[in-house]
Amino acid sequence: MVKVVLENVTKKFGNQTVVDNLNLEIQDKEFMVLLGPSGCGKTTTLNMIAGLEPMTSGNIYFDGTLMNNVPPEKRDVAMVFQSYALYPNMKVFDNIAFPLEIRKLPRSEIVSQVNAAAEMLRIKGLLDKRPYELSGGERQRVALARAVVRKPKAFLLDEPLSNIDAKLRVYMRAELIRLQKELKTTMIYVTHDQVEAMSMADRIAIMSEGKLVQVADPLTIFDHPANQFVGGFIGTPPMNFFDCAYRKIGEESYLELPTVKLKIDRELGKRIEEEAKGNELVIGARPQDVDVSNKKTSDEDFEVEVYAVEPLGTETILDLCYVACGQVFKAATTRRFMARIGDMLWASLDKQRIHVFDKVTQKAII
Amino acid sequence: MGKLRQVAVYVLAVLLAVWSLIPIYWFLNMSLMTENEVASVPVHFWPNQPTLANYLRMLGFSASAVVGTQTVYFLPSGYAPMIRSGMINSTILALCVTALTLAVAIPTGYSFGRYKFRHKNKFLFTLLMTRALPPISIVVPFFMLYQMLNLQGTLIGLVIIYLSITIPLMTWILMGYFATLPLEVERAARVDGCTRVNALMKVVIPMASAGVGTVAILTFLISWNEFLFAWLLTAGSPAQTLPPVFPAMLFHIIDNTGLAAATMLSLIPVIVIALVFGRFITRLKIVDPVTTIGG
Repeated sequence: MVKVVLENVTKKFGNQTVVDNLNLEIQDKEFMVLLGPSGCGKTTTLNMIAGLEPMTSGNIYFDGTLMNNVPPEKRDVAMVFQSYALYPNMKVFDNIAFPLEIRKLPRSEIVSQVNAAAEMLRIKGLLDKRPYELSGGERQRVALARAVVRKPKAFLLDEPLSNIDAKLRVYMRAELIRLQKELKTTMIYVTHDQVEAMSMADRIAIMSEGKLVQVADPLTIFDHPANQFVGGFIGTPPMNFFDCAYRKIGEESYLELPTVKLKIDRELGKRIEEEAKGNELVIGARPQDVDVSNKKTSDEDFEVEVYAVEPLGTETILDLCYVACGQVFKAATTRRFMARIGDMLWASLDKQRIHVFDKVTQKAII
Repeated sequence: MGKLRQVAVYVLAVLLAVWSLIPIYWFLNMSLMTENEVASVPVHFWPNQPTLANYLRMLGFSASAVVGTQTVYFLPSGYAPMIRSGMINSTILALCVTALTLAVAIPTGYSFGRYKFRHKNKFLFTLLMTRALPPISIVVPFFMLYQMLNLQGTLIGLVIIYLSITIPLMTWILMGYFATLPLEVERAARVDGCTRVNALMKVVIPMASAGVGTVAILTFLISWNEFLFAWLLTAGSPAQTLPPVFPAMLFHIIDNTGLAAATMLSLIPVIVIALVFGRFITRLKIVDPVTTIGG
C-alpha cells in the first residue's frame, strides 16, 4: 500500500560500487521482481529499501515521503529473508507474534492475528514447535506468516524460495501470487531465478553489475530484451547467440553467418545501418525459434551435427554443432523428434522471431 | 582401524582425566578421613570410616567421628571464621564481577563483532595487550596506588582489578561469538519493529545465551579462583577472599585433613557449574536456521 521510488540510488562498499545510480518506481500494489545474477546488487537494493543498509547517495521515497534517514523499525515494511531468519530460541507462535508484541498490541488481538496468519499459510499445527524442528518449507511459511501478520506498507522478499526443494518451490510460486493479490500490498521480490520472475511478476527489473538494465512486464522482457544480457538471462533453455555480419548487396540487406546469408527486411536493414556501430552483429535466437529438419529446404538452412539429445517429455532439446564453425547451440523440437548423436541435420532460424544485437554495445537493435 | 582408533582416543581421554584428577581425588580421600586414618600404613585409597567431620569443623561446627570403635569429638577449627568469611567474600566478589563484566562486555563485544568503525583494530590490539602484561608487573603499582586511595583491603578495590582482567578477555570472546550469529535474524528483528537496543535485548542476547552463559561462568570462576591480587591486597583484612586462606593454613598449623576439606569447599562452585551448567549448555539448541533442516 505504498509507492516506492528509488532516485539515483548508489551504494559503494569501499571502492566497489554495488548499486550504481539506480532509478526505479514501484507502483502501489505492484508485484515487482528484482532479477539478476548473484552479486548484481539486488539484495543490497532491497536492504536499502528496508533501511538495513545506508545508501552512499540517492533518495528513497515512500508515497512521496523521503525515507533516507528513517530507521528500519519505522519504515513499516515486512521482510522475508533468504535464510528465513526465524528467531531460533522462540516457538513458532512467538516468532509470528513478535512484530505485534513489539508494537504492544493486546494479547487477545495478538492471538487472533497469529492464528489468522497461521491459518492463511496452513501452519496452525506448527505453532508450538521450535524453528529447528521444522523443514525448509515450513520455515519459509513461518517467515511469511511473520511478515503478513501485521499489515505492512510493503513486503520485501529476498530469494524466499531458493532454499526449498523444487516441487515445493513451484507450489509456493502460485501461493505467493495469490497471497499478494489477497493482501493487495506492494511486493518487492528479489530472485536470480528467471522462471520465478517470469511467473510471478507484474513487472521485472533486471539488474546487472549494479546497474538497472531493463524494467518491463515479463512478456515484454521476453519478446523485446533490451540487450544481449537480458536476452541470454531470460528464457529456458537460454537464447543462442551467433556472431554475424551485416551486408548490403544492391538494395537487399543480409545477415551473414559462416555458411549462409539470411535475407532480411529492408526496414530492418535501415535500422541496423542507423543504430549499429559497425557491421558486426549478434543474432539471438531462442531454441524454440530454431527449426530443424532432415532435409535442406532453403538456401538459408545450415548443416548441423547432433551433439547431444535431451528428451524432456514435453519437448526434446537438441544440442547441435554448427558444422562450419564448430559452435554448439540448442534447438527445441517437438517431443517426438527422433535424432541420435552424430546425425547430420539442417537448421534454420525463424527470421520473424530472431533478435539482433550490436556486437560492440550489446544493445538490441531488434 | 576406525574401532581401534576410537579405543585409543578413549584410553587417552581416561589417562588424561586420571592424570589431572589424581590430586583432587587424593584430597577428597583425605578430607573424608580422620588424621589417624590418614597416618595409617598401608595408605587407604578410600576411607574405611568416611566422615564429614573435617568439613563441619572447617565451617565452624563441632563434630564427631568414629575412629575404630570409639567416637572422637572435634572442636571447630580456628580457621573457620576466615574460611566462612572468605567464602562469603569470594561469592559477593565473583557475583559483582560477573554482573559488571557482562554489563560492559556484552555491548562492547557486540559492537566489535558487528560494526565497523574507525580505529577498531587499535582498540582490539589494546584489549589484547592488557592480557599480555604479566600480572606480577602490575600488582606492585596497584598495591601502591591502592594504599594511596585507601582501597587496600577492600572488596571494591579487588572488584576493580578483576574487571580490568575480565572485561577485555570476555569482550574478546563475546566479539567472536556475536560475529558468528546470523546477521539476518538481527535484521529481521529491526524490520519487525525493534530499535537497535531492542533487537540486542530481545533477539541477539537470547540467541547468544550459550556464549553469554559461558562468559558468565568463566568470569565467575576467574574471580573465585584468583589468588595473586587477592592475597596481596586483602590478606589479613576483613575483605580477604577464600584463596589467600590456604597459604595461611599451609604455613602455620599443620592440619592436613582440615586443609583437604577446605580445599574441597573451594571447589564447590566448579563442581556445581560442571554438573548443572555443563548439561544446560550442551542442551541449548542454537541452530543456524538454514543449514540445519529438520531436528
